[in-house]
Amino acid sequence: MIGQRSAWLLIAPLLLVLLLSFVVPLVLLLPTSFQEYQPGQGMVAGSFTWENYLRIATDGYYREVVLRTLGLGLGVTVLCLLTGYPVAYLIVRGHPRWRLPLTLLVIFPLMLNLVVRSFGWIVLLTNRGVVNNLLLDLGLIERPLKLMFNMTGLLIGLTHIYLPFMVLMLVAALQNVPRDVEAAAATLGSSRTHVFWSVTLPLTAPGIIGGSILVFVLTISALVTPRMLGGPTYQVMATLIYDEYMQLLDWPSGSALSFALAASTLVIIWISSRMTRRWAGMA
Amino acid sequence: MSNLSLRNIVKRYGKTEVVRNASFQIAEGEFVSLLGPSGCGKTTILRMVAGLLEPTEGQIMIGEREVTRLPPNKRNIGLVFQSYALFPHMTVFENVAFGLRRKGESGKPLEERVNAALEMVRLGGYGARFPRQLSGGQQQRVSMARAIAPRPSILLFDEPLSNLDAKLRDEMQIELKRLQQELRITTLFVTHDQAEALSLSDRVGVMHGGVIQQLDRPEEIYHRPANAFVASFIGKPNRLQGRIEAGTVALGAGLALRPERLDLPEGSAAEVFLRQEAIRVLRAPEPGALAGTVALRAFSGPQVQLVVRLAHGAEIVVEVPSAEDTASLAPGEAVYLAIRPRDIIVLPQGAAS
Repeated sequence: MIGQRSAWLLIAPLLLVLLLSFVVPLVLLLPTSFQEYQPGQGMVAGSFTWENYLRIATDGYYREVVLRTLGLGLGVTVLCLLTGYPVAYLIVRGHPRWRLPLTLLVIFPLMLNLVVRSFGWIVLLTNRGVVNNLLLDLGLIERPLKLMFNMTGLLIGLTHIYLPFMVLMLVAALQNVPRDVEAAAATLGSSRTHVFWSVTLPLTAPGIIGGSILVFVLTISALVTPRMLGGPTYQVMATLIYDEYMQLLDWPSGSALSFALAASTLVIIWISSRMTRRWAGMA
Repeated sequence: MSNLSLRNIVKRYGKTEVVRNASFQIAEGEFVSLLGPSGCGKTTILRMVAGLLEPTEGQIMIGEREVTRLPPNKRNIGLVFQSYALFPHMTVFENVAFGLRRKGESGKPLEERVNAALEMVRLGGYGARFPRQLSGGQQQRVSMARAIAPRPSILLFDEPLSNLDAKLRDEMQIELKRLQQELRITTLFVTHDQAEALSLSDRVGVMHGGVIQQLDRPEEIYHRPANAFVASFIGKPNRLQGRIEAGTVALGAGLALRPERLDLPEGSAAEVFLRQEAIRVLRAPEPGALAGTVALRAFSGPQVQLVVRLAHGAEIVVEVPSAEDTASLAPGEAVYLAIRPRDIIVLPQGAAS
């Protein structure tokens, strides 16, 4: 076991970086989020208001963006989980010969620049893009499908980008499932499907929850892809925060949104870690 | 309950034969062990019986049913793993209930049968705990309860005691014997521990290089090993070279042993196996005893080990209870080794390793 002193030493570099680059700016930002904003003049010095926070809940537009962001996070997480689990299962349980190529295939998108990848999706998904042209030429559709500047485009693009994180987490979780435990279930009369549902899946719960938290948090805070595939009008919280700061110079509003985003992230992580404990029956 | 029979079972990985043509039968209610060093193919045989591996050739029958290609869940077996393999996300009760639920048991009867199985391994009242809250020995007992609860027709053990410490292992061994006698379930037990195999089993199969060298009652295995491998693997044998001359085994320098039975032709080379524990150490000569001198003495509590150099130069290790007068023999002193004719195991030289 590592002693308390060494434990602190080991964690010190990370703590220091987090303190300087995350906690301090956050604390500095907190007063800003409670200040009044006058269009054309900027922040009103010495003012205090709840308005910036209240607006997120009451203003229809803000509320829509918040719900859309959370919905997007949920959707991307579910899509990553559903498409990622079979891949992870194949990597861990398939023929060893396939392990390396499959892992590389999963990691490969991470080697490309985010902007390039998003541009790739634009080429594919736009009204006169590859997908629509193909479907039109095949006569399967009469009018181009709307694949961009809406939920569909964001779901496709973000799922593609965050899938590797999910797969890698699930691979680690699956590798931790002892084969003997699955074999034991089989000898006790469990079919392969039943072994999966009653043993493999619950034992990979920590990986499922871990991967889901990661993908969810990355998705709701993603900026570049939503901006490129959602355009200037289809906003999520991250793009809205960016616009509040950079376009409207409404810092108080942007800060309030940032805190709301951070708070909802923390709440979700807390809920899901409690869920893991209950579901997997272990700490 | 039913008997188990393997017919000409072969398992190959590529060109390597892990199991070569294994055929044997376990009668209803019989306890048979497969004993051998690691890599001898014993676990492979067990896993093929369980359905976790498919044999390359041959047939496996449980009772009248051929199960060679059936998946494990269609075989009605119970398997106890070396690693316990309990379901960590389920309570002890749910672990034991798992197999019963698969058989459609539920409600009151299920509860009664789970509790009965837990009672049998003396873990009544532990149902609500999780495996991680139990000691290694308790976990292995849960795993036994889990295997026997659905009343399998065959019970399989894959080195179930080797993860336990020595003291616990002895306790569990007695527990296992008791359990098997109560249930009389046909059992195949795989181990590398000869004491375990010999004391638990009705019959022991000694394996080496994918081949069952000898399958017989423990007494036969111990006193009448079929070949040099079995003779050298079981017990703590000394190995001496000799030649058959006039109904004795001549070791050289005038030393000779007269075994009870001798089936080898006159003049052929032979190997003699003498168990440490079968040799009596004497201070005075006796007819038939081998003369030598003590070369080394090592005290280990209840026993003293002596390395005795015989007249022709070969060395023999013998064990003397430390309470005996001969235990005080010091290096350099003359000793005489007496061996009963029936304890002299003679095998042809150079036969199966």
